[in-house]
Amino acid sequence: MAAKQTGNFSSHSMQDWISEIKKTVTDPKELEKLIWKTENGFHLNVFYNNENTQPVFLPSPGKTEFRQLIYADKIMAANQAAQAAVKDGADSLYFKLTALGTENEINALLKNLDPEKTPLHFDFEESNVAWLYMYVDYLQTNQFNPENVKGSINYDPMSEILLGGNFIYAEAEAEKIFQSVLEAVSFELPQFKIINVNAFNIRECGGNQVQEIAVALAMTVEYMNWANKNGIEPKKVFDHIQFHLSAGNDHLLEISKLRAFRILIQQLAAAYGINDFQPQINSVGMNRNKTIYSAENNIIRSTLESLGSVLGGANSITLHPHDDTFRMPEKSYKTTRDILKSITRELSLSTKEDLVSGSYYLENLTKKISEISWDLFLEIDKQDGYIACLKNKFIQQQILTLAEKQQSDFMSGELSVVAVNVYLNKNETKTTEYTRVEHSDLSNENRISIPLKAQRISEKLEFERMKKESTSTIDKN
Amino acid sequence: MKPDFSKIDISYPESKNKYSDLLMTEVPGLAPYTRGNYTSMYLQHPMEVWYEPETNDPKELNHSLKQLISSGAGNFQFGADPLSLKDWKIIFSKINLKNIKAGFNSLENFHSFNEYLKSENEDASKFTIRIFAETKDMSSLKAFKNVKVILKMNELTELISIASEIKDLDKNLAIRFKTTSYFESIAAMRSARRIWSETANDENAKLSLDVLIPGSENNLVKSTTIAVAAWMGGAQSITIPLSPNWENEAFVNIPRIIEEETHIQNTIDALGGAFHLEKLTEDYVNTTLK
Repeated sequence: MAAKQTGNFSSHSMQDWISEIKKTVTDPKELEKLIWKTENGFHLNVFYNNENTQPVFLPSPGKTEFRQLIYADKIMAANQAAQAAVKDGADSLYFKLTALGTENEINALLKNLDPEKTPLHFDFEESNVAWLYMYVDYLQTNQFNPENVKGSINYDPMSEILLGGNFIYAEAEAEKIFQSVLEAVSFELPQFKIINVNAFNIRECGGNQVQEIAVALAMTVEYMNWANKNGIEPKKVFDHIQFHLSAGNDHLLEISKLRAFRILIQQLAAAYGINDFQPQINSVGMNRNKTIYSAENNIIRSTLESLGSVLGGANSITLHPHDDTFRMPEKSYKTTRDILKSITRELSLSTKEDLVSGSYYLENLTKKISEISWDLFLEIDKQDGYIACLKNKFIQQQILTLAEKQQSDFMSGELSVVAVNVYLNKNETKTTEYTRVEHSDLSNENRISIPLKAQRISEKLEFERMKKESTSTIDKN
Repeated sequence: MKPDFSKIDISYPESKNKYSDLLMTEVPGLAPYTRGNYTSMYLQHPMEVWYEPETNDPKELNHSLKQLISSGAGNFQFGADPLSLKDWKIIFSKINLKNIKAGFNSLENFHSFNEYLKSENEDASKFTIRIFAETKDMSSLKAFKNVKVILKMNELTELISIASEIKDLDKNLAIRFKTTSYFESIAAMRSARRIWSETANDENAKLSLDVLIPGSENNLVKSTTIAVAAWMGGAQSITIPLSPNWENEAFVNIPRIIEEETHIQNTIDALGGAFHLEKLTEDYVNTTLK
């Protein structure tokens, strides 16, 4: 049979679709299911087409950098893991440590690593500021050219008040430190990022994508206020700022969230006279959705998160090893690298093309998230900004309300986490394998606001299960 | 000076994509079905997930089926190695046949399964069955009204000959073709529906698509990416091979996590309209129809 001519189908409109669906779906309750009521406070149709869709073009970073997270509690092991990661293709390294070690320990941690070739990122929590100055010395002593050094130190006083209830130093002092670190970096390390907006914490504490964006913008404005008060040029802040946004497995929302943030932060920067600002966005794989039981499932979740991050245009991705919910990772660092390698191969990413630009669904979703996030940001701004909204509990109330609903939906089964409240592997035991040392309590004794706490959604249920397991093991013995 | 943000209207960087003219006003559920076979897709026509335990050992199969059924699964594909009447008795020992759909990678196993049903006095016509077959086998399978035939396809061009050769079987026909990378797989699924719609004898014929997930011989990341592509491309079913050690592996949970945690199935053709994808889809359609 000869092929029919192409293009002999008449055009269809949204109205045609509605007429068609009414033929097949007559139950009003079923029709209701065609609208997705997201937890972000807006509704989404089951599909969109080119009616009312305005395609947006956002140049993607081309290659999404893989930033290897390495827990540096054991210095020698961390250095070995770092060297192996570089050899295996990690684009940059991210050392996480609760406190700064001695000079010898730092030398051991950075042994055989070239900060000019491999950007190094650090989070030494309370020691971040001290580390900046030590790192500058380290680079000079080891004859690296600071002008060529990229990387960052995760200095973020705005997150101290979010998670700790106060700044580590008094607010006035924190402001002075902000000024001095920014001056030091812009002078010594022109390509280095020192101001961080860890907005992903909003999601880890139970907030949604809209809240995450709004708070990220509000935190940025607060930093700009500090800069303004201390006579620092806006450009200096925008040159050295880095955003850490969450990567969750709510795939389409996450892609659109990244796109929406890129649009809004450009706009915010423009308001300060910085045009065509290209933000440095590090997508951080979420911990909240991960599990202790059937931990290999976390690889699937991280894959979805990475796919979303790449399609959304993140500059880099940091993933939690799949087993770090219950033990200190060793071999699983490589698995996280393989995720991004495989995805990069799959997507054949070689151009700066925005691969999802034009998608009717994602463009509509991007706009909805942008508009609602901007409204929430304006509300925070109206109430005197981020710090004031933490002091008056506005931000916490928004997030805690949602977190409580999520927890109650999870306990009732309305919100599912595979292998925890659905599809359990009942034969699996975890008690003997669990060696995780929980994070230190970040809360400050002299609180000026209520601190938020990051928590995995399945934490309570999994701990209860482990408790039952150990009780039954004791009974058997 | 702090800017007055309340006076700012959001401005979106407009796309000046050179492929903008490719965009079509198509909707799901209407020919040419580029955007999906059904108006509501997974809400009324959920994607079927088929599990294929990679063993020929009847006892192992029996164990796997029981475990999978207890977790809510019901669609099982059986390999091509011959299974006898005796084997089927072991495989389905203490399993309620009413809860399952069966698929076969060989005609021999389909026939021996039918023998087994007869021996158990089960009405074969009540079972939903699918078989991997070749075009030449299709006429002999016409007698079985409950049988869905899945044809393997390597190239999209094969669709045209299938579409023109086969009559009256479109409702029970599905195609499985080689999946490649993420966007290419999605574009191939979209273009296959379009090509089918434009070349089949019945222009309202809807083409079912099955996607084989790479499974344990490949890695979990590739398998997850292809599974996401299957949903994005609007497949009707996916088949996941399971190694004998599947209970300790995560492959079985790929579709579960996608269904329960990602909200992907809340939409149809989520990437429809994306210039990159529309260009790929159009290229596939044009190249194939040439």
